[in-house]
Amino acid sequence: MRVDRLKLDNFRNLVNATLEFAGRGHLLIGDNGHGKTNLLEAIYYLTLLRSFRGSQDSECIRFGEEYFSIRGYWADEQESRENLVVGYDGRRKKLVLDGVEKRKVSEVFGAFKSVVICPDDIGIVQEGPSVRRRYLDIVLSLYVPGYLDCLKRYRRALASRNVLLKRHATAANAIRPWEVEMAIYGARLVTGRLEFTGQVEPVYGRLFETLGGGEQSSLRYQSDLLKAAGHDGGDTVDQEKLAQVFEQRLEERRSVEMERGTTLSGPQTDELVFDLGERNLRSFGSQGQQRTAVICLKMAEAELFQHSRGIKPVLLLDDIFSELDPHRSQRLLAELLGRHQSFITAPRMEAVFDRLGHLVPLKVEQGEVRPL
Amino acid sequence: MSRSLEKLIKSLGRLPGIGEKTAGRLAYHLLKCPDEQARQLAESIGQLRDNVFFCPRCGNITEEDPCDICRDERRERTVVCVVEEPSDIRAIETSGSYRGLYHVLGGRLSPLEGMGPDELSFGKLQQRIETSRPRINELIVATNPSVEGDATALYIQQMLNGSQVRVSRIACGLPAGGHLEYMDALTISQALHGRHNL
Ligand SMILES: [Zn+2]
Repeated sequence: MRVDRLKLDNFRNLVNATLEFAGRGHLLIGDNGHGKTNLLEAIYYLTLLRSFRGSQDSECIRFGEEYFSIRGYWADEQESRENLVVGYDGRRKKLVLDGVEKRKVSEVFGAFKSVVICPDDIGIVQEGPSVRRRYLDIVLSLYVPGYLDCLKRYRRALASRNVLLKRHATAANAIRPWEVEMAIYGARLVTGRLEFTGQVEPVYGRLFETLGGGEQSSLRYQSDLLKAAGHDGGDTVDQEKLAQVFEQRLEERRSVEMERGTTLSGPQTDELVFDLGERNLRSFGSQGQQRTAVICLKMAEAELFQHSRGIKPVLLLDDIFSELDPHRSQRLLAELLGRHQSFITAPRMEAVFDRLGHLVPLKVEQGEVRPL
Repeated sequence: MSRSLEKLIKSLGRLPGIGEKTAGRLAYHLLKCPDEQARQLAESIGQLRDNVFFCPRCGNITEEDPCDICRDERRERTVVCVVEEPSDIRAIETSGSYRGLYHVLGGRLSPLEGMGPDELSFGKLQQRIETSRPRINELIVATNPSVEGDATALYIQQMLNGSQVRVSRIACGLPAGGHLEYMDALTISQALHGRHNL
């Protein structure tokens, strides 16, 4: 993937302009608050269709304006070109892919593939399991056709069952249809997450060993359903059997869960575990180790899709070099970046950027992007 | 503003898909258009409410009891297609490829919207199956392919478990999350032919 051009209107503090990008990418140099992260955010809007910083669309409209619009033009590995407009007018989001307006997010989600790494990502390791599930769900929605629809359907079936559980007096025949659907879609979610974890794990482990100076870290997907299905720990599972186990479990626990007023098992309780040798990285890792883990996970994600699908996502790195000190990790990272179009922000030029000679430096000042 | 005008804007604004702005525009149009045109509209609404009702057998919209479809002797009377709303019947009829009868549920199961089995015409469907002669031997469930539509189909299948009625679901050809009403005729006829056993 290679983003060639970006047309910005009223997006945060960025000056309205059409920016042309170099094929290898750019270093974006500027003081904090001048807009370099906003530019990464605008590019990532083409992937996620919302802010990677968790902002509302309305917060991205420049102060005093009524709407914002981002139009991105990109080419994939086969040089086939697409463009996408993501706009928000204060009431609704507008998505136009190659001139055709799309009503459903799932029709546009993942058309442009990029990976963002920012300082807040450390939350993926440090915060609760829901943050890690959310990470998995976003990645799988971007790369696996149908996953997002499946996720939405599962959530709707789960919410429906929970409403019925709270009503206590619900008859079995009224609640069973929702359990059947939860089992079908839930099994698909678990299968997808397990397969992704299995594929990304070896790449992650290798990167961590190199970036972390020889330390060992690994990833595993933990799920009570897999356990109940007697899963052997491999990367694959019999999806049909998993659905059967889930459906049976929902039926068995129905009365207990009615007492609690909510569903207690299923993919919404699963966990992506980061191990550090024999210990848990989340509880026992240092800040530096946790940060390295997140960078390795996201780089592994980018590498994985290059290996499996020939897709090289665009890399968007927000101020991460200043956090990494050993020369070796910087060298390795620079090498990896060389394979993808990359946009890297930093407050100032640093010695390590000598290794990134292929990136064209730009200055971002008061929302304006210009040659350095 | 005049009280009458205000009242009309309010009434129009309650219609689905019409916001305050559109309601205002429509009301001013009705004020300025030829007298006859506006009165005709009022009259048609009155006639609709006086003459049109839901078929007591199948739930279709009709001016006669039973409706055209239920009365049509040339139609296959052993096959019943179950739909959510009367508007779905129109969509399927336009395709011209279905010759059986219908049953309108009046919605779909949706706990999130407070729709349970008691709100839908499952009881009437069961009664129809027990009492209809000739016997109904096939049900085609054509609820929307949403999570709710699928749950509704599963509920029907469960309800008729152990009976002689074959239950099938139209599934192929309909994109997930789409709505029957908006499909073109071709897609629906393909979906009906591609139906499979639940
Ligand atoms: Zn009828």
